[in-house]
Amino acid sequence: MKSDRPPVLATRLLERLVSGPHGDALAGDLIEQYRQGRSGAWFCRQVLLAILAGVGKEVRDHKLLAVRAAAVGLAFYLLSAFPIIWLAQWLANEGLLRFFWSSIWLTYTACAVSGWIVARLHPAHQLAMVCVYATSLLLFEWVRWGAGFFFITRATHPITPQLLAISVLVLFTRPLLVLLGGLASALARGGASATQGPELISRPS
Amino acid sequence: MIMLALIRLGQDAYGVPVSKTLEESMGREVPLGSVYAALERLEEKGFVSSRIGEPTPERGGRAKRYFRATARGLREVRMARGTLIKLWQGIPALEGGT
Repeated sequence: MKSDRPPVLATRLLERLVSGPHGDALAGDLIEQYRQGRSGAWFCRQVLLAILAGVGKEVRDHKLLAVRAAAVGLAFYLLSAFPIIWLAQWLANEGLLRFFWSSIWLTYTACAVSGWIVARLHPAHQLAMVCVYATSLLLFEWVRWGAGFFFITRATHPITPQLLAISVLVLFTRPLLVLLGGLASALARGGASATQGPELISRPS
Repeated sequence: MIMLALIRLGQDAYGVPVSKTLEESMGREVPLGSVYAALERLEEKGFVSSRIGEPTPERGGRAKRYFRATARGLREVRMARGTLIKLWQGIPALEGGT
C-alpha cells in the first residue's frame, strides 16, 4: 500500500526551494494530489518542474542579478586557478599527493565553494542565481574544452570512446559541483516556505 | 488559456482544478508549477486576484489559494478573443479551402 507521506527528499526540496507568493499553496496542491492517488514519481517530477519554473521566473524577473551572479562565479572560478596550481604543486613537492589528483580535487572544491558563495551573495534568489552561474560555467567549459579537444588533443591523441567519456564527465562535473555547493547553502538557510516544513508531512486526521 | 480555465471554474478555481481543466482541454499533463508561475505573472499584471482559503489536513495543513479573473482580466480576454476572430477570418487554409 502506498505511504501517506510523499517522498522525503522531494518534500524537503519542495519546502526549501519552491518559493514565491504561492509556494505554500503549490505545496498543498501537490500533497493533495499525492494523497488522492498520484504516484511518488509524479510527485518528484512535479517538484522538479516547480523548482525549474520558479528558477526560470526569477531569472526573467532579475536579469541584472543573473549577469552579476555569472560574473562573480566565473571570476572566482578563474582566479582560484592560481592558488590551486600553487597548492597542488606544493603538495606534489612535499610528496603528499600527485599533482594530477590534487589539482582535480582542489578544482572540484573551488567549484563547490564558488556555488556556495554565489548563493550567499544572492540570499533572496539563491537557487536561480546558482543555476545561472552553473549554466554559464558549463558554456564556458564547453567552449574551452571543445577548442582544446578539437585543436590540441585531436592532433596528438586518437579520439577514443574512453577519452570522449572522460571529457564529458569532466565537463559536467564542475557545474554539478557548483549546483551542489549552491544547494547546500540554500538548504542550510531554508527557502520561503521552510518555516512550515513540519506541517507539510503531517497526516490527515 | 489559464484565464479561460479560471472563468470556467468560477469560485472553485485553485491550482488543482485549473491544472485538470487545462489537462482535459489540451490532452496532456500541465505541471502545477507552471500553472502557478503563469498565475503569478497574471496576478502581477492585475488580470487575476487571489484569496487564501482554509488550511486542511489532507493538504498537510496548507491552505488553498483561490484565483479569479478581475474586471481588467475579463476585458483582456474579450479583446484577445476579438483579435483572434479577426485574424482567423479570411484564411482559406483554415476554412477548409486550398
